[in-house]
Amino acid sequence: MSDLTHQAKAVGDEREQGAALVVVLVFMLGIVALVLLIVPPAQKNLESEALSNRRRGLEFVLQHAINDSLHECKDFNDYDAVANGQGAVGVLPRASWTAGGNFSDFGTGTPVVVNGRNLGAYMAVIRTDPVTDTQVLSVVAAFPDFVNPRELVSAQVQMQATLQGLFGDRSALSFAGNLAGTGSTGGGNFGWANNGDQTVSIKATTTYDPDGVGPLSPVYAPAVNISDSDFYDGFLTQFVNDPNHGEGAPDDGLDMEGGDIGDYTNTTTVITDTIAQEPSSTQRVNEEFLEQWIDHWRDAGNQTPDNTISSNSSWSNSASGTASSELTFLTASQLKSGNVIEGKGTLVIRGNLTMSNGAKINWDGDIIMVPSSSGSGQGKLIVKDAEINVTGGLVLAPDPNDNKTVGLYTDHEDAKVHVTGTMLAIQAGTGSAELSLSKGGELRVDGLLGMLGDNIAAQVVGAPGSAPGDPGRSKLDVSGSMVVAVPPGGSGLQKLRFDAASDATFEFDNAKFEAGVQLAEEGSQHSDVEPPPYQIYRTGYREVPATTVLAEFEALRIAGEDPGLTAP
Amino acid sequence: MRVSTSTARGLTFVEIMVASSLLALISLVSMSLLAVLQRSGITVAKNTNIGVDARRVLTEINRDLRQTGWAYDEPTNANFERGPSTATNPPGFTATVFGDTSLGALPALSFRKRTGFAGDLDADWNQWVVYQVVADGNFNNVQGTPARFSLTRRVATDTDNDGAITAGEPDITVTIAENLSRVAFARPDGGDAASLQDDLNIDLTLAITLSSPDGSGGAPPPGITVSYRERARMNNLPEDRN
Repeated sequence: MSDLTHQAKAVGDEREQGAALVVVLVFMLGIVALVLLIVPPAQKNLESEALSNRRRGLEFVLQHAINDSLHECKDFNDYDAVANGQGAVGVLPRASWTAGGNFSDFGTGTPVVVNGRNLGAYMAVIRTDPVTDTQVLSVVAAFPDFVNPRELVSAQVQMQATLQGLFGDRSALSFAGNLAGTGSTGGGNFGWANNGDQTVSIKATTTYDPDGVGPLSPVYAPAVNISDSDFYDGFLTQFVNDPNHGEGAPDDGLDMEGGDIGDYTNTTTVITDTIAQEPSSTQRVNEEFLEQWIDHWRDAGNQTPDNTISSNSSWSNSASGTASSELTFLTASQLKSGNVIEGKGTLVIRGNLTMSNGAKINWDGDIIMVPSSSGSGQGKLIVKDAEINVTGGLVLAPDPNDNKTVGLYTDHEDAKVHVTGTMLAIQAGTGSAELSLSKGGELRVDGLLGMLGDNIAAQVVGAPGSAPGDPGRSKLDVSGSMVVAVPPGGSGLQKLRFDAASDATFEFDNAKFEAGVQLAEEGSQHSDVEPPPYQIYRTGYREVPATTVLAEFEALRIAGEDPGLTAP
Repeated sequence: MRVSTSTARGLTFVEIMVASSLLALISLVSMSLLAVLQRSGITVAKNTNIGVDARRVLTEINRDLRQTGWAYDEPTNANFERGPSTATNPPGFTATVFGDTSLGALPALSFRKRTGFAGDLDADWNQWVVYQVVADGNFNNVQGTPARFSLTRRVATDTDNDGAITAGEPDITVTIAENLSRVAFARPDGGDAASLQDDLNIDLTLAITLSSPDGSGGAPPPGITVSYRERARMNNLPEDRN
């Protein structure tokens, strides 16, 4: 039995081993097939997913870098401090980075990490084009980093700072935005009286040097630039092709048209170099921005003043404000004989003020006109036989939420207002601004005269019968540039008239214009006033080869260029 | 004892038959499993390719759309539209058709890209791109024989900036996707121009269909369809406060 059992076991063992081998082989074959058929596609799928995720992540880094760089520009308020036309953003280490240095400060770029996961890093450079007043932001993003990048993407964004865009044109007279409200097709609020004896002279320097480095690449500046096509046609009709004004020059038998040079005399004299209808860069004005800008100026009136001038008879000479950071309030309603106010800093005039009998304001800084806080009070500065001299800014800032008028009025043949810098009439909301020269008097602006908003009216008219040279003729003299910019959707500019017994001269002067714009950008110098809004608009986007951008960055680094940013 | 010994050394006919049957059964199951695995592998591979293709196409459209938008003109934005629009199309180019192939349309996106910043804010819109859905017969081995489409991309560059594509200027049309069962281009807000920000977005829908590996002929099973949807945003803006 023991033999039988042993043999039976031996036979049983042999069968089990054979069957097991077949089964094992079959299953091994199946497993190999499974591996061969399933794993490679799955691996490919995973790699594809990973690649897709990396690229999506890098696109996120790129967009984040653009936004971050724009914000950084905004916060710094200056991305080209050394004025070499280029600045770096997104530079590490920010905490220890100071102005100056060079593009080696890029290091390995700014990493973007979300929930502990590295999405990549970026570098960014911003360059300024002085001709178009635009900046081009170049951003390149790399994954995982710039040391051993496996993926690179790059994009460029063309953009414009608001104020630079607001005063982007260089013309003696620039109109931009929605000007339909002027009645440009012949309404009474635009143009002049046909039977008047007024003169309007609009002159451009033939060229100007855009980068200030010399006569190379001069840029032609038209006398008048009007971006709005309807307003352009209306301007030709009202100012140029008016049959009362004779023919255009050269004397081709046709009415004057854009591009002609006018030099002829009728009852009205018009001298206009050229009229252009060009896509204007002076069109980025909008209601919201204007409101913020007005709030900046008006905010000075909400601060605690360093000095207050309230009396109008008990003093003869007030020296107020000895530093540009000081704030002075003028609450007097009249300035009369012998009243002279001199000072520095920011002068806020609240409510109506009439100046007469030789009163004077000589101010080095900004004069800000705001409406009265009382129920019916306005904010009218009436200059009779008196004088205002401002080196800085004269700003009419009506309250956007109050239906009141803030205006400047010359109302006497001996009235004189002279602004060296910038004069601004800014309007938004329900407030309104006026500029009226009548009965003689003179307003001279050496710099920038800006009328920004839609509920704004301007008129120049002299004392009836005043001949050229008579004191009763009103004079508006702008040496620099006058910019009229109206936001879209509003009622349009309300009035722009040059009427009888008046002389208006607009002559483009690049240096004065730029100085005026700089003053407008700097705003009130009082330390408690929020800085003026400085906003970057993104206007163009294109994707470019990352290697090209990196090569440009490397060239900047090798050249030791100054990134030109102030430290955060 | 001898008899017993000789019996232990051999296999009976019944045993051989049982073993053969078991082997055949195992082989049959194994082969069936292999066939299923093979079909499954092929399907996975095709699905992977679909995913790769769809992502490539969507990425390409997305990149193109990012570089379009609006040229600057404050009073009349609509007239200066460069992005997909039924109002303005490059001369000789397909009009933009927002629509859905499942609703009978052959959608097309026609727009311009801004390629440079050499000029002012309205310059260098000189590359014209058209994504056109083309009818491509039917899926014959898919239940219901649904309509089949392909997608072409035409890119032309107005190198001399004269507003037209003339002889000698690059103008290339390439088929970038096939076996599409559905394509839809839509604006999320339905094209209400009242909201510029909304109009900067475009929804892209792409569905690719595969015939089922499990049959063909007179009564094929439903196909395998994979759908992708993505929202693209145009980045060239007349006014975008950042």
